[in-house]
Amino acid sequence: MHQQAQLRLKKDAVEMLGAETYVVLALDTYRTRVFKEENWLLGGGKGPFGKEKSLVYATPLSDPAGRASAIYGVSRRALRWGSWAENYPHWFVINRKGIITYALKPTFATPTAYQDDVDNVLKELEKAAQ
Amino acid sequence: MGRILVLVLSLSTAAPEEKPVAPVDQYQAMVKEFGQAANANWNATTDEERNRAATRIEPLPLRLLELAEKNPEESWTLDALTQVITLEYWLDNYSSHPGWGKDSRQARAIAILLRDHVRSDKLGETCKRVQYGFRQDCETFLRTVIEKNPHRDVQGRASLGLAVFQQARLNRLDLLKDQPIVSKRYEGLYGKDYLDRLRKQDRAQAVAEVEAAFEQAAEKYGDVELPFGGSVGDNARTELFAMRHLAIGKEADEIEGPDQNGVRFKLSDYRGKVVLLYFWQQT
Repeated sequence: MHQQAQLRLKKDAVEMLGAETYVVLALDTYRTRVFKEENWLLGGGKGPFGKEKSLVYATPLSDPAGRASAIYGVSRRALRWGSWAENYPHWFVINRKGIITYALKPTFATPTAYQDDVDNVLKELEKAAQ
Repeated sequence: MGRILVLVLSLSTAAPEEKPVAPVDQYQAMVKEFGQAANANWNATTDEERNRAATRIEPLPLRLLELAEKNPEESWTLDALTQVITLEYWLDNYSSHPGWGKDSRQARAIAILLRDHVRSDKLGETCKRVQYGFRQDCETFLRTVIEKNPHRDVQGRASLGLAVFQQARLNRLDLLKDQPIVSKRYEGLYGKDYLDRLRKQDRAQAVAEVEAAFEQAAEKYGDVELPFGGSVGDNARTELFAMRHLAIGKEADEIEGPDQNGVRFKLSDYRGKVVLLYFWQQT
């Protein structure tokens, strides 16, 4: 969740690089739309984007069967609240030739991990865009 | 008469003798102190508060180590030594300590574990902690456990741990290339000679060694169940798949599906553009 909010803060920088940004969700299309457009957890508040309904800036992709997650090896690798979560969050940067140039499995190990991860992703996007 | 009175008075004012704290209670108190200080660090909002929490934790590894050395036969000794390993990770990650050099408490704890507990059936969890390390002692520990521990489940966890350790060490070496400040800190933490030796290794060969370690874990100990679900084989094969198909420099595998409006998406349609793909955790 917080990573989507952190990414929203860097939206201008990402767009300047001309990068296409996608977030893959193990949800059907209805819930995927709710995640994007009516995300109460990521919208509202008193911050700079308080008037936006949702802070999800990436285009969400619906992957209800978890096929894309399985192909990218991120399925069911995180135990949360006593059950296996569908995906362990991962970032991938893919260059213009379709080659993976960066893969990041967040650790959430420090209080600033969210913004550090997004900063690292941005640096790698810059490299891939060159 | 005067002498008797003085004696009686001195007896009545003597402080009651303090009962010595049992070693097991000392151990538990230190574990509790670590938990509380780590929480305080996590919840801290200023660097001063974080430093204060780290200062509370800094003496604990040595105190735990000394307690374990004085009580080598206790049921909790192995756990205490394992805690020393964890505590030094914590200090490496969360404090600005310049490094322990040859006085690493973690290295001393590992040496004692190898000397006194290498055949223990309780070493599985220790292998998991050790796999997150960086120093040479961690690799030596895992290799020795595979060779000398008679319990197959412990051997399996050590085998998977060795592969994870080698992979993580390689990843960290790659990250250090672009980060001179962190690189300098690593020299303090783990020794310049050791780092120089690792930097000189052939990367392709090191990757092949990691793959071979995961293959060995999957082939020899694939059926060993892990305490939090899955098996050594599941974990090793997942990592092998990621190394062979999802590693940096590999072509991104095709994925397709609808976006939130039902519009079809196909990753390969975006050749010529930079793509950022994020897999969101569904809880």
